[in-house]
Amino acid sequence: MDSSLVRELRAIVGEAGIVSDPVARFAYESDGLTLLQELPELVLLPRDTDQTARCMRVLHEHGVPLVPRGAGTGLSGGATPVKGGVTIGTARMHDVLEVDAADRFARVQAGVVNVDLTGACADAGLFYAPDPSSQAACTIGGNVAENSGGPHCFKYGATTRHVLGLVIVSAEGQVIDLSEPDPDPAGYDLAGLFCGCEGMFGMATEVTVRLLPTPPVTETLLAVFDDLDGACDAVTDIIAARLEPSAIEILDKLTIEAIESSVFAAGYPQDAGAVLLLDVEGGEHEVESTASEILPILERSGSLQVRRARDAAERRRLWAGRKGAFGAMGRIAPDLYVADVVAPRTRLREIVRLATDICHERGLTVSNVFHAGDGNLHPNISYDRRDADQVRKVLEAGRLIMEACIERGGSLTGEHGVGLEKQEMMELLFTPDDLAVMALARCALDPERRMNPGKMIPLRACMEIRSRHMPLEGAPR
Amino acid sequence: MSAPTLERIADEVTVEDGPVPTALPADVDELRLVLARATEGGLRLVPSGLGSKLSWCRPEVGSGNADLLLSTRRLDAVLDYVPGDGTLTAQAGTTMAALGETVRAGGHRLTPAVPRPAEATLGGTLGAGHSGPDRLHDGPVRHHVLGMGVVLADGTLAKSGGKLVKNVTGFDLHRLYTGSRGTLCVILEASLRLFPAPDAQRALSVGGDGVEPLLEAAAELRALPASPLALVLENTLQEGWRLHLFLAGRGPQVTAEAAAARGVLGSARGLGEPEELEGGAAEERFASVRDLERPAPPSSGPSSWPWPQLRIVTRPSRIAAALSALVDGLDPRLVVQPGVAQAVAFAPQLLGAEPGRWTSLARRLAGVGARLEPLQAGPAAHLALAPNGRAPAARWMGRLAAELDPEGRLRCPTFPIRT
Repeated sequence: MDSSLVRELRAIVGEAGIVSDPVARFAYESDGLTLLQELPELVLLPRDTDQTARCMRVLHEHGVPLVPRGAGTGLSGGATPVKGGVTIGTARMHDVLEVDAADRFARVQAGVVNVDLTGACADAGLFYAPDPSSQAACTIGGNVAENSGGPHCFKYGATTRHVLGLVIVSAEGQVIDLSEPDPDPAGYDLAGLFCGCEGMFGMATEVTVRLLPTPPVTETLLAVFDDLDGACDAVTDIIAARLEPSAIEILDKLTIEAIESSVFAAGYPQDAGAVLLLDVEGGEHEVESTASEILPILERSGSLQVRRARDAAERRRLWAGRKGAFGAMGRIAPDLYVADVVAPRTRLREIVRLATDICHERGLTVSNVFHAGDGNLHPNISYDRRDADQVRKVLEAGRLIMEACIERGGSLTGEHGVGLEKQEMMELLFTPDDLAVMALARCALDPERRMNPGKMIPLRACMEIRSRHMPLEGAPR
Repeated sequence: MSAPTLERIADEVTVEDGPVPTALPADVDELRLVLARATEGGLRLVPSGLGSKLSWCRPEVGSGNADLLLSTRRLDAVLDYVPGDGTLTAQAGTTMAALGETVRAGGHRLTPAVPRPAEATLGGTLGAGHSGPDRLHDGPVRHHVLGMGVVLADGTLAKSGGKLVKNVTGFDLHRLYTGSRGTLCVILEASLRLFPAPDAQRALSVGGDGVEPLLEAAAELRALPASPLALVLENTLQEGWRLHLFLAGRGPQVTAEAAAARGVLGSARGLGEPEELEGGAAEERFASVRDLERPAPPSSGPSSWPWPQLRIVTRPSRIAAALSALVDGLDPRLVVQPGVAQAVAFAPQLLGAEPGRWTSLARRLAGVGARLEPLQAGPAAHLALAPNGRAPAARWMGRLAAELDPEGRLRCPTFPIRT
């Protein structure tokens, strides 16, 4: 990278805000999808919106592509660096700027870690609902970019339902201040459009989020099953009965074994074929009556035993096991491919079985831990990336699982995003015109397509649509 | 220029006469044909449903700046209701009342509870981004749109999202379209997330000595460990102010929350005796309060109808100050949702008001941290209050509109920016 450009950027962010050393840059060569790697030319870690905007104006003037990055916990390659580009991280934008208990919102810098936000408002009796499994590491800005979910999004909804406002820096370095926590947007819902844009419209530097009152009562249930089928059927029946626990998670036998052998051991029964972990939250009577209707459904679906967490400590332990599941998988194999698809909730059993069969037919080790209430499946394939044949089989299985899911009315991704991993699969779900219109929105907000280029939308769709209205500009430099 | 094109459209598609004619395509092909003809003839189009929100979403219709309304009201099929998944997909012209009845039969509740649902279509509701009083519990309508099928002005058919309750595949363009007032596309169909129908419903209504004690009571109710369906403060149903609390959900919980609410209302100063309704009576009361944003003409007061109407958007803690700033010089009928920090005002004193009076009111509200949105205000007031497009956010909006509708076929001169 041009040394005068680096000097100019260094002058903006200071020594602490720039990573130019090649060895240090290795830490940024991929996100959680470690199969895909690219060394960024430079990493910038601005401290605030102003520094970000100044950096992005400079990069705009030089036509340099850039990739926004939170904590790098994403699993679809959304933060994989782009060749010849700069990665801009939010690691130093970690301040909680405001907690307004009266109006129940918080304003935070984009690099605030998810779990720290709830920590910051707990004293006010409030919490931030989206809780991705990586919440101890992932950032609010990253959650916005991916429209992240988590177990309790079954009741509370994914990130987009909790974002009241944003401060965005555009590709040209303009600051777009949408931070006022209005109940409705003035004009188009730019913040709603921005959520889940995977860093392709701009970079969020501040986020205003909705906070919820901590539920008066939480009941945590652990239902034990012989196999995955029974657990899936129970979930389908709970949804059909219109019951609304706040989280419904399934963990299969291999996942349980991995967790119980790890530091995340939660006391799950190791002889179980699967467990269903549920939270029921709300007023005392609501929780009691909801739980009392769930219990017979669990029994009818073949649950061998239902445990109620006795106290907050047991509840925390049960959830720590669930949240630590992906980490615990490291005991099975050095690498983990976390698939992320959505099934219609009426077809959970069928699609979970299918995904398992696809993996087993290829001799792959698959475990399942997923947000069953939302139909958001995570078949996790353990593998060793040093084995090229295994890598090939993993990618093939991932593709077949996605295809099978889409054929049955499902979707490509429930919370991890499309990124690089699923980019080519987009054409299974969307027509060329669907994609072309998405590309139009992208071209409206980033005409030179320098923000996280080459992600999500198959490139030809963007080229086709651009040719309708204006000459195609060059690919990102 | 437009007359031959209109005649040609009328030869091919049903067109209803009116100050601005309305094309009524029977299917998507006919709708695209109208778009194509409009492009050939350079017509300015305004998408609509049954037209219940046109006066505030597209004020240019009333000032002769539109050539043709394009109504989707004949596209009125329920395409897919999946009770086991709690989702619904329907064409844009289906009325909210019909959708509500459909899902009620399967044990679900439709949100938003819009005023006069038989006169509002799904497409119109989403295009206007119109939420109901149930947003206190459910959130605004844009949170429950799972996916959409639309047609752009150039005839391109496109979808975003899908029918699933969780899905992050592709950009959430349906979020952009929701509330875009038909300026970006014509909505053809949409999928919605549904809520369980409640086992029990309860309504508590109370009058008070002016708005202040009722606002205080509303704040105390909001602080209860409860999850009410709606909380509405109004002075339109009868003389004086009344606060209405609606509870809906599981029977024992509703009973407990009603008792807690009675405790709050019973100990508050300056309030009357609360009236409490259950079941069907509570549901009827909810419907009447829901409809307050589209009231019938009043029996007394200025005879000209409809009265000018505006919306205030602010933060919950600022609602009292915003109301004070608003009523200074006006004597509006108000429907206030203190929990979600917005109010709709009907102000006969603004009949025939010059745009300057509207901008002065907007400035006064901005001074207390509230935003004024004109509703039934007339084209001149809308124009005076429209953002000028210089702010970076406005520029983004302008660029989105220019990219999706480059010829400006669907453009509105006052939304989202002044053009």
